[in-house]
Amino acid sequence: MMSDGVVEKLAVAGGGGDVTASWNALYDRFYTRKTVYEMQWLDEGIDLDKYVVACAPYGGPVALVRDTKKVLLVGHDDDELVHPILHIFATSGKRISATDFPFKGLVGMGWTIEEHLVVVLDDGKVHTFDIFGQEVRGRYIELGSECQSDGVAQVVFWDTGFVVRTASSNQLFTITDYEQPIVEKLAHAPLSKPPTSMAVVPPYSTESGSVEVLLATSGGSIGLVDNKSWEDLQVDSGPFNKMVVSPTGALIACFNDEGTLYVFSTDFSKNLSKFVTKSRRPPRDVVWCGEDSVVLYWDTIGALLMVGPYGDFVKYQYDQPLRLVTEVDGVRIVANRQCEYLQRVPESAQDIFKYQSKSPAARLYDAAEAFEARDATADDNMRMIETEDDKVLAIEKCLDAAAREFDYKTQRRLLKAASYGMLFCKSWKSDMFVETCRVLRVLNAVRAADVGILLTYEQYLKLEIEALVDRLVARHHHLLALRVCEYMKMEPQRVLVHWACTKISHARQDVPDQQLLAEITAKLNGQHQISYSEVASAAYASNRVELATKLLDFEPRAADQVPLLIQMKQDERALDKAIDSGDTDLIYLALLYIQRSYDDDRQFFSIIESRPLARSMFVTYCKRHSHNTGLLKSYYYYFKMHTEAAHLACREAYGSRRLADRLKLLNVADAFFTDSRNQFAAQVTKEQIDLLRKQCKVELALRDTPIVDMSVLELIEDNVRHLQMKAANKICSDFKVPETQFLHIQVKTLAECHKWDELARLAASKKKKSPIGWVPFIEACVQEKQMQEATKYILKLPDYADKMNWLCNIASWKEAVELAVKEKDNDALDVIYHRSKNPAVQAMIDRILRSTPQ
Amino acid sequence: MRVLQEDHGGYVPEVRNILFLVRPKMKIMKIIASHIRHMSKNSASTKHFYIYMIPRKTLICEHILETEGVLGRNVHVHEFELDLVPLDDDVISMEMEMCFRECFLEGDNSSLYYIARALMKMQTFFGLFPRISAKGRCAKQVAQSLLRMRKEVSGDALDSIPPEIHQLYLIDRDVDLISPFVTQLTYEGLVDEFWGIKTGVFELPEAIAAKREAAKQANAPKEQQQPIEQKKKVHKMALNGNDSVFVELRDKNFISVPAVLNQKAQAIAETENKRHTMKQVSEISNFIKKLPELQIEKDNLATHIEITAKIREKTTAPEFRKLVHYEQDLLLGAEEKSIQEYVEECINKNEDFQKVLRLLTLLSLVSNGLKPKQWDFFRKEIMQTYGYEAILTLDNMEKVGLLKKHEGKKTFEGIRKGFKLWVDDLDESNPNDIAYVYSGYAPLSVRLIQQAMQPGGWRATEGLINSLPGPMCELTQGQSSEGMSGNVRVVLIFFIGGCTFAEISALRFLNEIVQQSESDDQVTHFVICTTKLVNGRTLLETVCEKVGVLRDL
Repeated sequence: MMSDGVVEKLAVAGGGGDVTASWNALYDRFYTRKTVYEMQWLDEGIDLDKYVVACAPYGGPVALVRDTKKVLLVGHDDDELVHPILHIFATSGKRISATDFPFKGLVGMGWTIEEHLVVVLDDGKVHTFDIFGQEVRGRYIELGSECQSDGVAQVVFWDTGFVVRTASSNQLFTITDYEQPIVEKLAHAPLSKPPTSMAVVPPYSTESGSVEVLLATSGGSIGLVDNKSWEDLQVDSGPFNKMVVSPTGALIACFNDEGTLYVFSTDFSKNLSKFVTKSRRPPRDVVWCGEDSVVLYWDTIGALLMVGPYGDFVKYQYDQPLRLVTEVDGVRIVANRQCEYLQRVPESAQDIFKYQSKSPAARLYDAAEAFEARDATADDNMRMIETEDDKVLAIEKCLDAAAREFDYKTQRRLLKAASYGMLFCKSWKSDMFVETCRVLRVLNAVRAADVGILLTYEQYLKLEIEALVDRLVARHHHLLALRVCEYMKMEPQRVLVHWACTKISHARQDVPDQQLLAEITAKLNGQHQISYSEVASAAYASNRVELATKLLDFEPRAADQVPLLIQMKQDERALDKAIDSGDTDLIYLALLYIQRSYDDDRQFFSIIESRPLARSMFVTYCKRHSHNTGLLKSYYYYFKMHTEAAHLACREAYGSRRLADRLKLLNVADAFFTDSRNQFAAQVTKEQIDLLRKQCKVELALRDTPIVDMSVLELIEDNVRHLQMKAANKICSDFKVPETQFLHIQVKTLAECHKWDELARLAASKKKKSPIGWVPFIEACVQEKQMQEATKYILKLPDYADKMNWLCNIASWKEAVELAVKEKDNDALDVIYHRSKNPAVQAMIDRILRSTPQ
Repeated sequence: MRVLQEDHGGYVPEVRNILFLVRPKMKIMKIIASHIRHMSKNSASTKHFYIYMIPRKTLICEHILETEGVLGRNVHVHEFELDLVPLDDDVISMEMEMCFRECFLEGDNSSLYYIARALMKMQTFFGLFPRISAKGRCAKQVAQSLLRMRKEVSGDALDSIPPEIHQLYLIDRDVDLISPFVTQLTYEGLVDEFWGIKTGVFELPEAIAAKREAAKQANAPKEQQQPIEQKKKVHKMALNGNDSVFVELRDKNFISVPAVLNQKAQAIAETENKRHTMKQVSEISNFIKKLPELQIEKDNLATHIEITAKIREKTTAPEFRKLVHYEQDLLLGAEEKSIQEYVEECINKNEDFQKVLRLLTLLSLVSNGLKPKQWDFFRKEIMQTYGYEAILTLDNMEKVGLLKKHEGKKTFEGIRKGFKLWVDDLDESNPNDIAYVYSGYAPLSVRLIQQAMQPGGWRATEGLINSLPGPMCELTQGQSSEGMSGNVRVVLIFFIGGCTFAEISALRFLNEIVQQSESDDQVTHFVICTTKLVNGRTLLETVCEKVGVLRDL
């Protein structure tokens, strides 16, 4: 039981008596608890005790599902036990939806940052619902066989993921990102008994960047599990019945079986505080209020205990069940009859309202109040704020306090104080006043019970306006969202598109497409960047194909048009839009889908027939994917493209590795070439078949070196190399190789294998005149650096100048000199003399010149 | 880090996360799928696979991953929007080597979409291109895509960015197929012709690499010296504007390279010699500060001298001389018969297949196709020499328009005269025309740009422009360019399907000519953008059909 020493501390009420009435001091700071809503669900008789409850942060919705584990009075007239229902309410108790909940074995529910409700079942199935209780498409997850067979025993959520524990093996699994839901198995925890409690540090708060799970063991210690390992943190003050990680993930509050609350740093290196409650019964809930106080709730005795960092505490008593929600700046208390907010009193409010506060802000506030009351002290108070800086500070404080206030009247008084101060402050230039009023209008509007988003200023700053608009839209408060956009000078497209989608999906079946189109375009026209495809998508989902098609025509982005048109089976339209866009990716996409959607390829071919780009891209696609050659063949057949078919057969022939296949395919190619009246190609193909056959015969019978697949020329070369002149001659005549080419091959090959005698014989056989001239002979010898041999052929050249050139080029000086002497060319001798740079040659020339009469 | 192989080879890395950086090609997706399947099967822990597609994630590739059954929860597909790769201050490449094949052979226009997207990205940085001139089928499509994409982007956001690029020229490679098939005669062009420059990097031939390494060793402090033999790695050298020696050589005709090297060597020696005359301490300390720079310059100079020697070895070889001789004969309109004989001789001698195809392509392009008899003759010769499978490559070349059967009258004669493609009186060392890059032939592609920049632009010579393949279109966007501020004029020239180093050199030269004709405070900058830097060989390689080898009789 609780200590009797608990004494309620009364706030030290100051100037703003009504404001500070709800303040409680906790050590050196004040906390305030305010009732914000009387619950609208009171009429429906909702009793939180009977339900599993999940409350979304940022003043979000409350989901309720009947708790089947609760013992209920027999005979109680309760339809919900037979037909379970998922209730979703705004935090003001205004009903948002009620949908059937046909699932068994609920382990836990939690809200995601995008206000989707994630429901984890004991067989490892995970369903996700939107705020209207509709299952979100594509978000169904199965946690895997281990979870299914062992059963899920426990789940802990954070805003972007969750961790589950299986029942008997205590294995942990986690999903850290709903966008890409990968089930990750964490390290095994060697526990003989189930942990007494479990807490999670989300990945964004850990050093490693991966999720960390803390398990309180029945032995009294705490274990740390992540994706790599298990570690016993050697804590000895357990066993702990409750563990909760603070909002920043830096601290953890642990409640042990002796009724003591400890606060540790999450690495358990520091014990920051210890508070003895002496309650052996564990509290139902433990939550953090900010980073420095912990709130405990015992449902059995209706006690709410708030414990500060230095052992100070405040106790509140309740006669109704309640649930606690940790917010970034406080705790939301959702009870059967009301919704309250418990938070630390903002600094600015303390500054103004604290008893006997002498701060400039307090003086400004007092002055403004006095002025309202037509009291002359107003002026005195104003005068006491001496410096300009203090005046600015005072105005800022009043504005800040107003922004953080729930109560309209107090907001108004603070704003008045600020504006009163502005009259006296010459250096006030900021538009903060206007900004604050704007934000306050938005906040007050969304807090209104009918909308029921209990957002504090702090939360608003963190959530940001775009997300708030998204939330309004998701709740179908389109008009309000639009007003907020206008008011905050934001682009309203998202709101309008969502409105249009909702309009279509909620329209009665008998509302004609034309009417919807008119209503939608009337609103959307003239706006930039409207995603008409999104609206069209919604129309298609509502079976309004005609409307969807018409809407799509307004869409400027082809990348958004085409996939939807494909989905809508508007094949030709999709293909045309894709072609228009010039985006080949879209064309491929359209082509593939269309091709697959027809059983008969001919239908597909007839669609692409008049679209050349589509045709060439289809052919390219088929060519790049060998398994599509069948399709390509039927394409060529359909369009009677025989030459292309022949080339395809060639390509295939040379892609196959067995000779038999190659020959077969070449025959096919031959047939196609013949069909296309391509005489030339048919002829060379026939010859190739012939060549391959011959080569095969020879290779199998005689040779050990492979010759199959050689070209005609290579084959001749091979024969020449082996001096099989007869065979070489035969090939030449078989394949009509011109004599000149044959000669070239012989010269080159004989020179390459240094068969100089054979080369000489070949030259001799051509008598004086070679059909290719002597230069190839010379070049072949020079190539092999056989100048001696080269000289032989140079001397056969008919032209003297050529001879001389060549001889000089290959530095055959002796022969050059001889030739020059023979031709009586003294100029040449002179050139040789200078070019050779060879003393022996020069001496020879000297000798000759001396002996020759000039 | 590994290069993705077609066969996974049983490789299973012991890491949790695996990243694939790939092009969005269907074939690659299949390879990745097989890798993922293999790795997932043979590893105990769950691996995460991150596939980054460059330059964008495509639906079709995702679709293939899906049908291959690997698109699970541990496979993440993202895009890495790397499209424009700056190779130099004035050269940007999209590094899409298959663009030429895809656009001009296969009719797969994916590259055009990427080009439009990349140009669109440029427009978001530098404002709308006020004027776009396009010549060629693909160029026109890119220009039109740009207009369409502008509509898709919200309202008038682009209009408000002050334009910094004054003019965009888009030119299809197939408007001028001749230039890449002529042997480049500039320094950089020859390096590319002989050894290949890949993405601005030149892999030094072994002999030069060894010398460079040895020189560095000699300069290094003793203790850092390592035995050269142990480091037998490939030696790479970046060829770009950071190399001050290269900058002076790159665009020169090779004939004038030795002289430039000489000057450079003298300049360096002079700088070095200054130290002897220095008196002031500050002078000396300044000099010492510059020493490392000077050393790098010296090293580079030594390497370029080596490279020049190697090039000279090749260019003085009779084979090369013959090749250039016949190319020039063709281009200046000499008798074709001797050239045909030369091609035939090359085939007969079983010379490099690419060389033969390159010559034949030039012959076909210049003479507007081969006569039917010739056409059959060459095809037969080629198939008998290089194998029957060449039929597929020849067919591809015919489809692209590199080879064709003779039709109609010769148009090249008119084009050559109209664009003044041959310049006779040329001093390569001190050029006055872009034709110096090919020692006489002025690249048509660059003449086209030159014409566009004349008063009246293409319209002034419409008939001539229309005699080149592909449509022409000229567009204006946004506010008129008249009000454009600043005295810097930026001209963006985009070659779809590749351009050569020689063409870039010619454009730089053209840039100088334009600059000279303008007033002093006006500066014009050309920026050259292309899908890939090519030459005749690499262009042909993408068109060639590769076939498999028989394993089994």
